[in-house]
Amino acid sequence: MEKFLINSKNILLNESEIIFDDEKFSYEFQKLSENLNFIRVNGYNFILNSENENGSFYINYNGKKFEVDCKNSRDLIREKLQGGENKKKYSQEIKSPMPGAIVKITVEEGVEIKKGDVLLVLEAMKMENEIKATHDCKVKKILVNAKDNVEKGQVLIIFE
Amino acid sequence: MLKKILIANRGEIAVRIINTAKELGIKTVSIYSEFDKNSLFTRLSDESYYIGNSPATESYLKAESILDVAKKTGCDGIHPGYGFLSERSFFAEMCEKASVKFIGPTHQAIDFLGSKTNAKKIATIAKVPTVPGTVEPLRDFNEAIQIAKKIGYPVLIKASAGGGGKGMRVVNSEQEMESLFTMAQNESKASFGDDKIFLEKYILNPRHIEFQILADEYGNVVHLGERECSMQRRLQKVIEETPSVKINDSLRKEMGECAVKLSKEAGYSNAGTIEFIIDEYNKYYFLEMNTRLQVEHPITEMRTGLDLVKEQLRIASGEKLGYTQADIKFNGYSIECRICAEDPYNNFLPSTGKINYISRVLGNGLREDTGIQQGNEISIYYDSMIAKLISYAPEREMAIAKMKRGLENYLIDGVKTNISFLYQLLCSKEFQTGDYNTQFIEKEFLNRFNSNKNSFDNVYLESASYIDAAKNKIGKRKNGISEIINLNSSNWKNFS
Repeated sequence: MEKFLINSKNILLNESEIIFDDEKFSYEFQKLSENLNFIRVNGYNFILNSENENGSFYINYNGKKFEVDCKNSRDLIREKLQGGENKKKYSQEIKSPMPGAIVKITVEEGVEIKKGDVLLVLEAMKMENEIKATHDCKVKKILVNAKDNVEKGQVLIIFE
Repeated sequence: MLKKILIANRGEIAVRIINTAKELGIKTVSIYSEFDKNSLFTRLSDESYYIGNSPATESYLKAESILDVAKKTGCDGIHPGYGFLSERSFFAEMCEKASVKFIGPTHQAIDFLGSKTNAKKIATIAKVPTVPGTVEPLRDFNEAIQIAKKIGYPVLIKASAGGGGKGMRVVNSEQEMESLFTMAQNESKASFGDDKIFLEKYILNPRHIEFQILADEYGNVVHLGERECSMQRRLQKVIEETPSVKINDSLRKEMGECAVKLSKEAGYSNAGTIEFIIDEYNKYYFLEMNTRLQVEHPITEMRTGLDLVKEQLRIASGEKLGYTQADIKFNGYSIECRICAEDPYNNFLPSTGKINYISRVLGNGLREDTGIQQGNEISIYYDSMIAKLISYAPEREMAIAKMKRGLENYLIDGVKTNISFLYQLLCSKEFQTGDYNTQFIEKEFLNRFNSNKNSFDNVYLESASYIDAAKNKIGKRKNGISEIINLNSSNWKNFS
C-alpha cells in the first residue's frame, strides 16, 4: 500500500484497491493514451482525461473539470522540511502558447498589472489572440518586440 | 454530369466533397500542401498533387497553380469548398475562362454578393430589410468614428471579405475604435488579402438566422429552411441547429420567400446562404449572402434529406433542380457542434499538437464530418476545427441527448479541445429552451462556465479521480525523477 494525501484526504492505494474515508474499493486501471485512462471502481466505469498545468493536476469528465491536488510521501516530506505547506506559486514568466507573430505589446516594463489585463496580442491560426495576465504582478522584462515571430514555449515576458 | 473534379480545399470539407463525388461516379483530384501530404483527404481522392508550402498563401490560395493542376489532370470542374478561394470572384472567373466549371455561382454573382456593399443594394431592390450602415468602405478609423456618431454605438466593424468572425469587431465607444479597427483590418489583410472595412449599426441581443437556398442555372430557386446560428463566441459559430425554436411557420415562410427573392434578383445559381439577424421583437434584417457551401450545411441535409454537395454538382452540371418549394419536406431536428482544438479554460487559445489518440462512438442519429485521423497534427497553418459532430432525431430533446452522448464519448488526447464547453452549453437551460441570442455565450455563459467550481458528487468518480492522480504521480516518479528521500514507514509517521 502506498500513501497519498489527495484533496486533503488520506488515501491508501495498491495495484487493485483504494482505501479512503474508511471505505475500500476495488479498481482496475487501463492507460488508453498519455492523458486518457479507463478506470473501473467497484464495477463503475469512467474514462478520465487528465491535464497537468502550472503544477496543478486536473481531471476532465463529462464536461466538468476537477482539480485534484495529489501529494505523495515525498512531497509531504519536502513540505515538512521547507516548513509548512507550499504557497501556490505563480509562474514568473509568460510563454508563447503556440508559434505565431507578435502583433503588439500592450504593457511596459516596470508596470503593475492585474489579473486579466491584456499583455500582448499574438497572431496565430489566422486569429489575433489576446494573451492575458493570469495573476496580479509587475512586468520586469519584455523579451520580444512587435512583429517578432515566436516559437511555442518561448518566454515573452518576465514578471517580478 | 461532370466527370472529374478538383477539390481546391483541405480537411473535412475536402473529405465531404470527395465522398459525394465518389457516390456519383465522379473522379476526384485533390491538392495538398507540405503539411497535408499525409492527410486523409489526399488518400480518399483518386489523384492528389503537391501544390506548395504549408501556409495557405503558398498553397491553397495559389489560384493559378491550382487551375493548372485541374487542366493537366483533365478536370471539368473545381469545387472550392468554404474559405480559401471559395468566395474569390477572380478565381471563379479564371475557371470560367479555362472552361473548367467552378462549382458555385458565376463570378459576377460572387462579385455582387460577396461584397457586402452590393449585397445591400440588391436587398434594397428586392425589398428585403437591411441594417443601417455604410455602403462604401471606410477610409480610416476617423471616418468610422464620424459615422458611428451618427448611427449611435454600439457599431459593428467588419471586413468586406470577412467571414467566420475574422476581421469583425464590435465597438462600444469612440475610445475603442482605433485599436479594434486596426485589429479587424490586420486580420482581414492576413486572412483574405483585403483590408476594406465597413461599419453598421450593431443590433443588441440579436439572433443569427440563415436560410439555405439552392438555385439552378435556369432561374429556379428553393429555400431549405433556416439554421439557428446564435450560439456564437467572438462572432464565431459554436453550435448550430435547425429548425430554430424561435421561428414559427409564418415567419419561416416570409423569410424564406425573402431569401428566394434576393437570390433571384442577384441572378444567383448553385448553393448559397442568406444571413439574417433578428432583433428581440422578431424584426429581421438581411445581413449578407454567403456564396458557397457553409460549414454547418449538414444540419440542413439531415432535416431535408438532400445531399447539398450532390445538388451543387447536379446544378453545376447544368441539370434543373427538378423540384419546387412545395416538394421540400422538413423533418426532425438537427444540431451541429464544432469540435475545435482550443482551451476553453484559457480564453479559447488555439491548441496545437499531435493527436495521439482519438476515439468516438457514432451511429444512430450521430454523424461526424472530419478530416482528422489518429496521428495527425493540428497546426498553426489552418483553422482549429477538428470535427463537426451532427445529431439528428424526430424531437429536439432527443437530438440534444444524442449530441450529449456523442460528446461524452468523444475522446481526444494530444490537443486541448472545447468539448467540455460544448457539453456545458448543451446542458444550459438557455439551450434547452432555445431561448438564446448571439450575446448569450459572452455576456452570460462564459462567467458561469469559468466560475463553476466542481466538486465530486459521486464517490466512485471521486475514487477514480484519486486513482488517476495517484497513478500520475507514480508514473512521473517512474519516468526518471530520482528519489531524493528514502521513503520508509518511519518517515511517514512524521506527518501522518
